[in-house]
Amino acid sequence: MRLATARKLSAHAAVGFAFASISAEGDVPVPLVALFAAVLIGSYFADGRIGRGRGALLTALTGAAFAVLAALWLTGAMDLVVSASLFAAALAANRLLSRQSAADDGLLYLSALLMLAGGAALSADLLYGVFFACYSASATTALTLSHLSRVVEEARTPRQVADSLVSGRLLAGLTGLSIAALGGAIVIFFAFPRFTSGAFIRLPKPAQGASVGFSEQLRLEVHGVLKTDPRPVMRFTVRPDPGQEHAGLLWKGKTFDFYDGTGWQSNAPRREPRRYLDFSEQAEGDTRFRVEVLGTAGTNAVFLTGRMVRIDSPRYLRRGLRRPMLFFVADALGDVRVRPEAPEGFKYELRARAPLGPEKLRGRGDEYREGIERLFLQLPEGLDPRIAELARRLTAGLEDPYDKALAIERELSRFRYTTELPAPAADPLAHFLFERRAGHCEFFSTAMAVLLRAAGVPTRNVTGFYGGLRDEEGSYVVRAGDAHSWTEVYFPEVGFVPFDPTPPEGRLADTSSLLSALIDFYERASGPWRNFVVDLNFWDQVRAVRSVFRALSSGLARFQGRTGAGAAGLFNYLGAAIALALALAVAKRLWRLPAGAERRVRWKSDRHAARVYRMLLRRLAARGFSKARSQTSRELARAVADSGAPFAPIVELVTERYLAARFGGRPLGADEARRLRQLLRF
Amino acid sequence: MREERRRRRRLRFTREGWYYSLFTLGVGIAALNTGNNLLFLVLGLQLSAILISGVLSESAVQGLRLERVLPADPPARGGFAVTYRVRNLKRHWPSFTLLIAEKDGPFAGQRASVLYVGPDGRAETTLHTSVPRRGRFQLDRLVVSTRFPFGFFEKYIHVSVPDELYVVPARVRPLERRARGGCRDGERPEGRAGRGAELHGLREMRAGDDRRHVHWRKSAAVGRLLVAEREHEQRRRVVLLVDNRGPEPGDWLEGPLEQAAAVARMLSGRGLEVGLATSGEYLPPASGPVQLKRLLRRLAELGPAQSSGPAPDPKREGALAIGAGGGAA
Repeated sequence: MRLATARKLSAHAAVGFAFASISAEGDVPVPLVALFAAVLIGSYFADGRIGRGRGALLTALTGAAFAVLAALWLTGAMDLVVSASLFAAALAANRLLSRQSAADDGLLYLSALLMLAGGAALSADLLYGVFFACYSASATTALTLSHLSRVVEEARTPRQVADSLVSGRLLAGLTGLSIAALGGAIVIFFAFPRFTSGAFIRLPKPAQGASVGFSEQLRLEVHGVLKTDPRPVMRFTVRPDPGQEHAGLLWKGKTFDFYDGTGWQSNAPRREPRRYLDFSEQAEGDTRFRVEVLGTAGTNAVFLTGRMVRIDSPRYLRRGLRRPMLFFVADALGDVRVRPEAPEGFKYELRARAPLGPEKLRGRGDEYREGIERLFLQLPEGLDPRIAELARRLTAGLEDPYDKALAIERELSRFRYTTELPAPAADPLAHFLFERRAGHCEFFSTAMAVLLRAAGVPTRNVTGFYGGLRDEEGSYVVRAGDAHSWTEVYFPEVGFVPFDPTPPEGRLADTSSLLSALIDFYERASGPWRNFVVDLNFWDQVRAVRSVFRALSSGLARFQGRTGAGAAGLFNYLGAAIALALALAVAKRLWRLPAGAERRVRWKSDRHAARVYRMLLRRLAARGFSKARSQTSRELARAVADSGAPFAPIVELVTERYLAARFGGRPLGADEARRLRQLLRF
Repeated sequence: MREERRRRRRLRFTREGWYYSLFTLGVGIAALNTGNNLLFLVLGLQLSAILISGVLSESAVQGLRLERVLPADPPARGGFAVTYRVRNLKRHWPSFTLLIAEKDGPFAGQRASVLYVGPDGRAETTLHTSVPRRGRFQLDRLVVSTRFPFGFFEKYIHVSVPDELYVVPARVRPLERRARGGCRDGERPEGRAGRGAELHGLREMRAGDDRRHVHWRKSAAVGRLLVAEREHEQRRRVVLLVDNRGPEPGDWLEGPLEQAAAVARMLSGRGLEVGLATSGEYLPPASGPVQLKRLLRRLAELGPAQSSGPAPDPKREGALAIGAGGGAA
């Protein structure tokens, strides 16, 4: 491969990856992505011909781009970081089109680096990490090749000589260099103390690609989430760990109390914000959850499950200074949201118990408080009379509200689940119950709630998620396709209890595709990325250092065969001293490496010279010229010369070369030593 | 000339290096400000590149042995080549993109580049240069630098390789002189028998005479053995008189010195013994390339003498005066 080609390839790759890092989150409009891709590919093949003689035009276009981006930012139509990153992209495009030689590459790499930094501010996704690693490898290679090309150009080195540089050895070296750069970046990343000042903080942007909505209304003829949408929206861990593959939990996000004939509404008054909410007394056997609601959920709804005991510790998924503290805000229906908005996601801890079984629910009677009846027995005027008739028929002979709920649930489970939307109907519920007998989960839950209300049992409709598939780390992942709707039935002294009339095949997301497998893999990799990179903080660093010292001290203690509190402190210091000494030794070794190499050469030269001279002495001894202890090397050579021996010139030559190698600073190489030994075969 | 000692390494920022460092600083401030870990990651990459740059550039300039090969007394204003030989003493590490320049001397700062020297390998590079003025120049330190691998920083070391360079007066067209007499160029008959090329006379053959010197035709004519005697010839001796008495600075001297050097080259080339007489100094005439070198080196060094100093003395030899106007006498 030619040096120029290798340089161009790596430079374009570096710029491409840098641009990809700002586009990863979808902040860059698609036409601009396409335009930049065209410039990248076109400039690779045009090799500077496009910009030749059009420097002024390109500068004017870059200036225009700056003006437009600045205007978009000033009018609030575009985020500052996006504008700045796009301007860096415009600069890069200018350089790509106009560069004629390696000397023009400086600004290109700088603008690529600007884009990479912009991408860091725009995205926290694993995809950014992938682009970062690719950029690191390609930019390191590109910078090195660019430097080589520049020297070649300045020295007017013939092309053949320059191209001969691009060998397997150089490519291996560049690979090593890239790995070293990335490795160094990782080490510095973890070692750099996370002290932050927070003078300028970028406001969080709205979540991109949010998939699930939990608004104040629910329309039956519309559903926003497809069962095939595999994007994770929530992740939770359970303690004690149930060990099940599928958690099978209902996560309530939004409750509706008012049915208007075509859908549900709620407008419950909200209460004071709190850092924690207690629902009942905590007990030893409570199940504890750690829940993360991801930015893809696009909601600030707090998802609750089972019989709630307590929620607390609301936190942002991505840390940052000067962010207002998160609070829980509950409303009169028991729904909870976080305030302020956390578009990049949030997390919290939750205690709950399993729902009560039938034995606890039967026999609670049907004496309801006035407020309960008013709110949760509400039915719209003009409700299709067939619905009330159906409710009566299904609950005929049943007195207990629990039995009524079971009967209706059983009846609805005979209906067919489908995500295909029905044809528009004046009364979608009646259409579902009496004509189509098929629909999505919201039809099932609405039907059950309305039928029970018609049968005099207070109910409400609930939306949220059903599921949670276990991943390899032991946490459960809930996807956008797991969005679900069910019914809650009121039991005196117990409260609302969930019933799910949707047939089981309609509850879970369809995640069997290759896409979801890929997304699973990506999500699994995202966990460590988020935990160890995105969320790393000062205390994590302190903990890591402590654990290193602990490991060192315990290792030393084991080595010494003694343990104890007194020794532990000492070993801590000892461990620190050893680590420091090791670090210094490595640093010194790196710093002095070349000097060491020179010493090695000298040492080898001395060895060769001594070997040659020993051979000379052996040869002379065989010819009757033994070296006396008091005789110097030159005196011996002179004695041989005075004797008129025919090999005297060889003796003199070898002696002088030996002295020059040992004491004259002229190292003797292996080849020369071999030639001298051949001479000594006289 | 080989190197003798070396000095401590130094570092210089290139223009790209300044931009890069300032940008690194900016990213560092932004990372500290926002606590955005991904900015710390970018910062880590930038600092890592700086560290690698430092280690590799240090490795590139260390462990090298340098040698300078100078041309033999080049003329002023004439192009010549200086060769630098580099040997990499490192066993495993190559050295890339070395720039070699003189720290001092007449062509200080002009760089010759070596693209690659493999581990335990050798390379050489040539600097094509010229020196505008004659003189004797002491060369000492070589600056060996590299911007490898990224071109952000230039690491350089000074290596002492002491040497001396004589730049002799520039080559100009000499004044033409016709040689006189029938002897070879640069030789003069002296009117007595010797071993020259010209015939001096005939005489009776004596015991010990070489038979090869017998003049057979004349001997046959007179009936006695006659031998031919050759003329004693002395190599022609010329002393160039350069009156260098005059004011400082000695720019006025350049023309006469260039002319003197040109005449010296021409006469020496014709086999004459050429000497040099300047104010207070005398270089006896001699022939051959060593004398020419000695003479040109003396001319390279010659500066103006005091106006009250002694006039150039040719010491009874044939003199050729080179005046301020370059005329001959």
